Amino acid sequence: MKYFFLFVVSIFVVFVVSFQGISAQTFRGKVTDKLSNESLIGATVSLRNTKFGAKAGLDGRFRITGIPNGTYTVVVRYIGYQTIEQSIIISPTSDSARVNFAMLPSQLKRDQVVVEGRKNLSTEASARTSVQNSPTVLNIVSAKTIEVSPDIQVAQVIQRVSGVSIERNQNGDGQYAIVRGMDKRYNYTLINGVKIPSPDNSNRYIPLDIFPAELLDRLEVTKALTPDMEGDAIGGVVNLVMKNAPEYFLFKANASTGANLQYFGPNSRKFQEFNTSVQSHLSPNQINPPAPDGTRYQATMADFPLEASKFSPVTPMPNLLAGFTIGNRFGEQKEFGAILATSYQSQFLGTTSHLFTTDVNRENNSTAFNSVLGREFSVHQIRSGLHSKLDYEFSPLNKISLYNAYVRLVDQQSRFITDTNLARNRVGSGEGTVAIEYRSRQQIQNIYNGTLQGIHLLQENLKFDWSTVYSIATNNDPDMATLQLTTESKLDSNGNHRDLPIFYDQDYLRRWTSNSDRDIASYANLLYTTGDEEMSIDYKIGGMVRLKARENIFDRYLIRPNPSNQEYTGDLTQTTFRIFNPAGSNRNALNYTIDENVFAGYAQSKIQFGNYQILAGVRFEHTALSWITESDASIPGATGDRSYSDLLPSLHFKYMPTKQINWRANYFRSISRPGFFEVIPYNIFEEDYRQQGNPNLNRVTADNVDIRFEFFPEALDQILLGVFYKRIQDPIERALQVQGTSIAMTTQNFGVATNYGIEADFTKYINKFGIRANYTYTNSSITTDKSIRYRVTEADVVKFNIDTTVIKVGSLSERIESQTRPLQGQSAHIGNISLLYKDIEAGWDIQLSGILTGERLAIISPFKDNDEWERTTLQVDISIEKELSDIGLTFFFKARNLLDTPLEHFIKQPSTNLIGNPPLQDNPDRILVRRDLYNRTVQLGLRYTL
Amino acid sequence: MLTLQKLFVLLLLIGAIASCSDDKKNPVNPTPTDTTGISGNQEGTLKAGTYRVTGDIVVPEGKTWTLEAGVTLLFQGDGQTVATSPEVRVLGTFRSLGTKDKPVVLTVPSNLATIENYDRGYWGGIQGFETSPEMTIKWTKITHVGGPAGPNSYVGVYEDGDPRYAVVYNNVNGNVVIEDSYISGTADDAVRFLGGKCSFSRNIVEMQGSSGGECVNIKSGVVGVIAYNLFIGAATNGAKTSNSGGSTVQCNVDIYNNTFVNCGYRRTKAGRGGSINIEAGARGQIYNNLIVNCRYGLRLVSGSDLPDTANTKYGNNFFYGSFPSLVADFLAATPGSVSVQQASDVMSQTPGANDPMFVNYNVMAFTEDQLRTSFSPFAGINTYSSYNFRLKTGSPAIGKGKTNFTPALTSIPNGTIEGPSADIGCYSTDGKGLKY
Repeated sequence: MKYFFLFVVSIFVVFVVSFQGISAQTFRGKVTDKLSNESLIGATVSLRNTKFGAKAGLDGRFRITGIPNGTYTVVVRYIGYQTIEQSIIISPTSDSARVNFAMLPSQLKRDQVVVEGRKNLSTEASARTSVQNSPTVLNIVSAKTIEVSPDIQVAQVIQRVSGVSIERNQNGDGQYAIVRGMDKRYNYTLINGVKIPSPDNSNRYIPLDIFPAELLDRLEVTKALTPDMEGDAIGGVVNLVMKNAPEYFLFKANASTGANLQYFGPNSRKFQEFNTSVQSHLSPNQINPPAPDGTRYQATMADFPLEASKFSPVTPMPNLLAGFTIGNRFGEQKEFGAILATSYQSQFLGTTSHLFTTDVNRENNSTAFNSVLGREFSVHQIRSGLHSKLDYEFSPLNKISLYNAYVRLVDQQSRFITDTNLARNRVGSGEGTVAIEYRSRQQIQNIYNGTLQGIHLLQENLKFDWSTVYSIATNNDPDMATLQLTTESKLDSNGNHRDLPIFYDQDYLRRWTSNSDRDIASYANLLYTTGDEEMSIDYKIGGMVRLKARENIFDRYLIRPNPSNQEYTGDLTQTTFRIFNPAGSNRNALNYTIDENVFAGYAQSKIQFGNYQILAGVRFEHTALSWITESDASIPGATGDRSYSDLLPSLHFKYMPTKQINWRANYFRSISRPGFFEVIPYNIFEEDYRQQGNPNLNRVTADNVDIRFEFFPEALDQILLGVFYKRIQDPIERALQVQGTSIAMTTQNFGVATNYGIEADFTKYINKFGIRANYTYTNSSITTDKSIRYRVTEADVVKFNIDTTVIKVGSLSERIESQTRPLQGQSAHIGNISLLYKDIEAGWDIQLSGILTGERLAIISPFKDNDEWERTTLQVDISIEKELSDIGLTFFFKARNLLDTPLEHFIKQPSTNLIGNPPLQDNPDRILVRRDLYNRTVQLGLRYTL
Repeated sequence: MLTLQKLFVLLLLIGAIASCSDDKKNPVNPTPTDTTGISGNQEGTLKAGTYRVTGDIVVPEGKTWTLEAGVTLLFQGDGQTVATSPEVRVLGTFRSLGTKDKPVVLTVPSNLATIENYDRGYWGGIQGFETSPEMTIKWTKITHVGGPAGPNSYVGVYEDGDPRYAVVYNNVNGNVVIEDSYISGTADDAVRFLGGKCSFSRNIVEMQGSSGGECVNIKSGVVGVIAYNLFIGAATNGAKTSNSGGSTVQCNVDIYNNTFVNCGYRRTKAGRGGSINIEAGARGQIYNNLIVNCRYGLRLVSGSDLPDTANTKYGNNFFYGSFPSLVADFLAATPGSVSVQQASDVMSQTPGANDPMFVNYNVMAFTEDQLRTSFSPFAGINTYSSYNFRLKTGSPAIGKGKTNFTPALTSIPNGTIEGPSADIGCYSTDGKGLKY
């Protein structure tokens, strides 16, 4: 792998050398937007009636060499801007003429106040400008940056933002964002500035891997909240700004194919396919609802096609990815704009995993293994999205827009597990009880969001805008079929492997679950501007209402082989089954409907004078949550409600000594609401402890402080350096609690946690090369309760104040102690580095990116010193794009996960203490509990831009 | 906006309460056609007689419900749904006080109560909640239990759809007594204790479990005895104790003077099934048990699920196997167990050796094949029927028991805990033990 790096670096060097020319006369200069001062990258500068011409580079500069003396007419062109023609003289007396061109946008009739939505937001330059001009701490990734990167879905994009790391899903792909060490529950996601509901069945956070990256105009991560933003984020806010109607006709299409290399090549494996059309999307109880008198439908084996558990090993089809965007403005005044963007991605992925299930020794609280699982996943993932925006400008003073966004993610998954019990029946390696599981599953997630928005200039300095939003997120996980088998593995007298016959284990499970989360929201904002050249003041007030309703459905059937000791031959049709609960279990005790309504109002003021800008304000939020569960009415909390109010002030201060430097200081107060499921008083008896919901769970509140230095030299370069500190009150964590003589696992609030860190962000282009790097150091700490298993001694009776009539000396017992650790998901070090090569003339765009995610807590154990940590990972991706002459066609090649980076979890205890010589333990200082491999994915295709 | 919300919630609550009229706690219970049945809140004493149970019975917290000798409860259930498999929910005190001549019978109508239907689980059992200070069950016959659990079942003990156990008790500060009773035919575990002081003595448990579960399954928080019982035809183990379950009180249950016959064959998972299973930090004294033709012998689970071996003592157990693989699997030969043969054990060294000499049961009556596929005919393999498991004079099990140890619990209110016998098995020549 080292050699691969060297190879790539040498390619860069070769390119540099080959493109050096020797100039006679040179004409050079810079092309910018006259109003915003942004560099216009790619603007063409040509000398009329000659062959001489150049394109403006990354820094806005162009260079034309080898020009003979004379007088020429320079023509400067850039789409969306008025063409410039100017006369210049090239002479030997000045061997390089230098002229800068400042271009005006071609549509410049409207008042800038209303037309703010018209700027092209998708360029890198515009992203940088927005960061510079923002009153708060912001990071932006532009569509152009996304296009030339290896990323195809939003979670992959967001991990390149400074301070952000991601939590992966089972396929090794990014799924949730962890912002500044604050895990997914502390951040929220917006589409076009409005919050969307989640398809997750018990939580609010959105899996970002649902969204195809090509639908975005830009991705914004706000790290300090202003009063006009919703207040429930402690880490940050992710805003997906979808494509906007363009100024002119735009058509863009792309198509590509590719594959994951674990299914192709020398060491490839087969993809385990099952017939996904056999699964019924509705459970038997949904197809046959209960009769009016309450009698339920009795399912028969016909409701459970056995084909769902029949798998065929095949070589999968190649991946297919395609999409197009089309948009234009119509009308005499270009008052009507429309854009439609779609994306479709079909990929075959897979994971090879080893997982150890652990237990905790009852004498001394150390880790012990129960079994080792070999798991193999074959996943067909289909991601699709559609976004449309229509906007109409009634007049220069009134504009109305309608956005529709729809995304859908289908995951068809086969999972094979071989579970070797390392305790029972195990004499040594090669022997033991083996449980085999074949599972087929299809998960379908949808999010739809429709927003109607209006912007009105009531008077010259009074602007009113409003939005009405309808969103719905659904998740359907129909007919998950889990076939459980059991067998033994023994060594015969020669030490050879002997497999005994395979029998059905107790239950063959067929389960349906689905949930939906529906939001109706309304926003209104009023902005009043006053002031003069010296000082300007904005006053902004607004309010918001959101009504949310959630619903869950769960149905599980236990099918048992009858008689129970039938042998599994591979053909389920040869087995006789009996359905244990033919009426299903239509409503899980943990099922609920929830209504959550939020009312908010804010007032803020932004003052700009000289080089200073201050934004101050306060937001008020009132939350009313009510729930109804299916539990018996006699159980306390079966139905209930909670409401609370919060006042969230914030202060943002910006000092701009020069046009290129910003100093920022920000303070804001924010909350994080508990997950819906966490407040409902459920009770589950698990193997080791009881799990309970906690209706007294408080929301989390946090005080956040940020200080940042920003420097924007030339063109696209930037240096951002900041520190942050968060004081988090009542953080929510799961931990054990002693209640009398029993121990229960609940979600609780734990006092105060702190989180502070340093972020550095650096972008520099030199000629055709660029480097984009960021590094974040984070340090957090929280103290929670953990359980310790031990044997009671005489000394312990005194030390822990034990009542010996109940707990005897010499018996095995458990006690609670507190332990301080970092927040879950927070890495001390995260970093990103991208090496870029951009040759605008020749049309090359190459990017080699590496992401470093430092060690972090993956799973919090209820027992002290038994937490699972995720090992440091370095993931490398590459993207190579080449424009094919001037026909608007670009060829691209992308490869992800070049190093086949494994996911590893380990427990920080010496592995030499483990009994029985378990496999895969390479390191004596720590215990490996999981290793997953995903292999590399390659993609190649074409993009066409009209 | 806020008042509208409150009104809406109020309406919902009213709706919920309205649907809970007639003391029926289950909103989807179909209207019973027979109004002479009993259901709902019960307290006081139920006089002798036959009663139809048409819906869940609840013994409210703080109240006591006593069944007199001669009470028969016929549960009207079909075992298909939780609504149609009524149970007895005990939040207060429950006493079922039968006598030898007039037992209390908790069963289903006779047309359903057959051997073929042993695991149909027509009704939902007796569920003791954490608020119940006492459950005393004597001279009671309990059959055909195991209906599926639902949202109104003991939340936390069962997952929706799981089969319910015949008797559950879960108050670590309370007492549960099951003595001189007869449990026949359950879908899963017969008895599960999750907390409390217990006496499970002098009972017969037969035909337990269709494909798994144990006769007596005990978790952490329980201190007591399992003594003088006859377990025949269990799906997995006759008795299993474990300290899992998250109580700070260690599971300490002594298992002595029991007879286990033909247990463990309906659980297919390798390594499971047998007679006695001690695991996961539990402790106890295991003596004087008679284990005949059970799939595995005494096992103290090895590996991460080790019981509290420092405090688990065993010996004086009698292991009989009528075919080779059973003999090979006793004790240390059983992989996955850390138990070793004790000098005081009586163990068949060859198949068929050391016949315990039951008064009326031929230990060689069934072949290995018949035992391993012991589903039908049931009669004989998994039922007590007309056998007599007393020991003939001259039996090698007589006089080989250990008496000089003190049980973990020596007395319990409303129950009788008998000390160990000098004989092995559930019948003692000095009159102690099983009365059936």
